Amino acid sequence: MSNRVSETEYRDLADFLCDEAELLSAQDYPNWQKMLAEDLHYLIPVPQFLEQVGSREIGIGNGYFDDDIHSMRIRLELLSSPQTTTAEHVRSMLNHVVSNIRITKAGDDEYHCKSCITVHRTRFNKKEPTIISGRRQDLIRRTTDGFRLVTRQVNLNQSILMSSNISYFF
Amino acid sequence: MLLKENLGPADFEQLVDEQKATASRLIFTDQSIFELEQEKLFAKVWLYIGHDSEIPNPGDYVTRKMATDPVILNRGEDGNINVLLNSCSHRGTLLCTTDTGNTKGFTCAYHGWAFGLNGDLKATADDMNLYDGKVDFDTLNLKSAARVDSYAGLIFATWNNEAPDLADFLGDARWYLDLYRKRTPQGMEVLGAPHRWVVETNWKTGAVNFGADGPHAVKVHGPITQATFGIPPQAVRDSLLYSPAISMGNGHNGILPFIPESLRGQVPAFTGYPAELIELYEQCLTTAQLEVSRDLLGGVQTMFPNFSSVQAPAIFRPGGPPINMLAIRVWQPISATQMEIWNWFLVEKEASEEWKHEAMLAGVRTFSPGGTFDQDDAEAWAGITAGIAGQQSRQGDMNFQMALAYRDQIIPDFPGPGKAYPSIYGEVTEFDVLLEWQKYMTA
Repeated sequence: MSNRVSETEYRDLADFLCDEAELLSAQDYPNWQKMLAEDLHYLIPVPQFLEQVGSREIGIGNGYFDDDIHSMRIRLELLSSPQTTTAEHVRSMLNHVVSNIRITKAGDDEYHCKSCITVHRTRFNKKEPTIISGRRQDLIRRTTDGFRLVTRQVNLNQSILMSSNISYFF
Repeated sequence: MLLKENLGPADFEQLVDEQKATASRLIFTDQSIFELEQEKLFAKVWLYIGHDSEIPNPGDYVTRKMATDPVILNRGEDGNINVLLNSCSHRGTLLCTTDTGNTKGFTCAYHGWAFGLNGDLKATADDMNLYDGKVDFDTLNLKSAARVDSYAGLIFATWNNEAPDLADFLGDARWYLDLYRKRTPQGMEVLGAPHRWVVETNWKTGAVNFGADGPHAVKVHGPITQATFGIPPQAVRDSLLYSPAISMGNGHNGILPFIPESLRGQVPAFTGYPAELIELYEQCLTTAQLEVSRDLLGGVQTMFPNFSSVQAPAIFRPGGPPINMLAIRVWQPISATQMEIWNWFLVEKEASEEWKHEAMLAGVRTFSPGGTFDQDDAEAWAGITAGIAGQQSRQGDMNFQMALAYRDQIIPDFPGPGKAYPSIYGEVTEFDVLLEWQKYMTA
């Protein structure tokens, strides 16, 4: 079986990624949550500068984010109300820019989607935006109810985050 | 008011007012004070740089910072720990440019000068005989930290030959460090690479907050504590208001938040830990340490000047048990109004692989740049910098005057050493971090 996708499939999935980006920028978490699968795994590893030879891993690894649907729901609930978030009260101005989308079939109803994500974020107390970019590898599932994000790994391009916090999603 | 250029002890006497329990906002925003801190504090004191478990084998290294200086922490062929200034003795180029690895030595990218794991100069740009015997190569080894020592796997270093022994510097704080970091025979290990992120605030903000600040935990973290610890805000408030804060001496401070009355009987001893670890705690801790450990909900400490820790139980699965995480961190001074947080997670070596994984998840979801706790603290702390940037606002005080109500209330016969005060709302121990800072700045 070829893992190529049809033009329609590509268009549908690219729309999904752009719809998702729009919801994330608007911090519309009730609606973003509807796009997540029950078996979600959302992972952002810690980027490091390593030798090509002689590199080694320390410990079992501890990503910036390592969430399943339960912990993600708690995060989204907290970020949705000014009573439960200091980091996003007032809300950041966010722009999620999705690009370099490439899609292959992962099975009958699943797709591997690679994309680049760049988030421009401005806080009330800083004039200029912080910009963090990453390469995403997603597994997206087609259901009778629309597409669902199953796994997402985001490899960010900052080894020391130039941002006081990541109170938003990639 | 901008400070005059040559600040002396008399100026620092005024900048922290012990009697009033206030500190000048300038010490959180003035760059000339920041520069003096490098010389009078960070060049003199023991600084945390890494954990034993990060460099288990000969040749293992990690790159770190001692305040503003880049250093390499490595384990030599002889098993000894080396702490080297990460700057070539020839022209100052950063020698090691990776975060971690294993190597036989370090070679400069500029002219190829090469150094052994202990910092000895091994090679210059070409044949060392070209110097015609006119240069004493022994003077061109990498600068090493004056002293390196460790406690409970925690590696500290100092540039100061005259520094007291690490054991004496930590002093009574060791009794409290043990409660979280030395309670099993094998001790602890790190779970992964450090989380590092920039916060637009002075490093002392973090050190003081972890010294530790009770009321902010209700305001900033109350609803989160409900959502992720399953503890109602009122119970958090009661725990903080009626549990002790400890001044351990030498500027080391911390808190012991106990299970509040309202939850007594509902929360088991050593909540958030598996039975097999509790068994080891019972073996390793002393009777007095066990007395204060059993009913702990968590713990927060600052080892002076900029090494802190936090333990807390998190629940991220509906109906699941609380899982304790332990984060240790350094508030790295970058400028008067910027720090980097370097944050690691620790777990007992004896823990099961499953427990290590759970403890890791509990940690990264709470105390990390994306963590439900840290993301909010960072915002409040950056708000200080934004709030005190002006000519009027920087003239004010940082207020710790709850200490006036609590500083004379030392708990008699407290099981642990140091001075125990009856409330984490008291601001006494937070302010003590600044009083210790003042001692170094006036010395």
